[in-house]
Amino acid sequence: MTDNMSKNQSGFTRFIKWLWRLISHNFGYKLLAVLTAVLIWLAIGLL
Amino acid sequence: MKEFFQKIADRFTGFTAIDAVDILVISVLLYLLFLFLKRNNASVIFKCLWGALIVGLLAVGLGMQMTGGLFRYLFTAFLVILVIIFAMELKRDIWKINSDRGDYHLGRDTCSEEDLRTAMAEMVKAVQNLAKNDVGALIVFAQKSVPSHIIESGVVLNALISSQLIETIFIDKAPMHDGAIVINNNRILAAGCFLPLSQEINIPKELGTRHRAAIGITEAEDVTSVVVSEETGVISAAQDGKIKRYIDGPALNAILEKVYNIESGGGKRISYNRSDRI
Repeated sequence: MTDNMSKNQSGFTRFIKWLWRLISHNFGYKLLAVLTAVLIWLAIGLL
Repeated sequence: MKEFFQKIADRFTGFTAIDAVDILVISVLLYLLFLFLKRNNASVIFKCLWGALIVGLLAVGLGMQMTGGLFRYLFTAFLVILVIIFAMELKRDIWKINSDRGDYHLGRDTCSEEDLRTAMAEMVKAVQNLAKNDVGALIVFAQKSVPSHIIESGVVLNALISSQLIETIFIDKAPMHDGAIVINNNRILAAGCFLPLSQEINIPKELGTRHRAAIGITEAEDVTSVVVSEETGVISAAQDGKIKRYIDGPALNAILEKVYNIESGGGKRISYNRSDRI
């Protein structure tokens, strides 16, 4: 039981680490891409 | 002006899950476009795109029909212009996707943290010795994958890392000294490898081909490179097309810990800032 829990926790931790690496790599460009997409979405809505 | 902000507020009020997915898809496409522009040193076009977007949004929001309409068409034209300007680069990238070059997919499953720490100590020792003796060196650390054509351009070694081996490879007049060694985990995959040169125009003249190659490979692939200058013995490290010069032992150790994704042993952290870009 404890082993299973620790296995799940390590899997979860690995997932969080993977997610963090995915987001933090080239973070500036990713943020800019999202901001630009929001801007385009707004512009299309205002047209 | 009040109407403009009211329109924006109304747009956000009706925000749905479909809109979120819509924005996510466009974000991914824009991210790929930004990376493509960054890789091809097209920062001017990147700034123009952003400027046009802001002006376009303001014009549309303020009800400026002519300017708004013009920017609407300009944005469409921009994509066509982009394809024309970067025809060669696009062809190269599509060729890269389609070609059966294959990558050496790498991982750290077979290597313990202790092995990595031993390899790191050997590498730091080797790099410091090379720098002390003004011997030029170029080392690429590839943890995920590396194009097979780079490995095949050199001599495949697949040897365990030792400071003596690294120093021997880069000794002047040795057959493999004029090229890069590619390292994965605690192994030297290949030596004497040829790397793509950076086309960045802002690289100072005092940095030679070896530094250009060190930057070039990090622009094209998700790797870190370390270079020792033959003239000055200065150690530099490059990542994501940016280079940090004057690296000492603890800083190199910190870089390698980051490369290997292992807990810091107390060494100082290195950040590759925009100002470090040369």
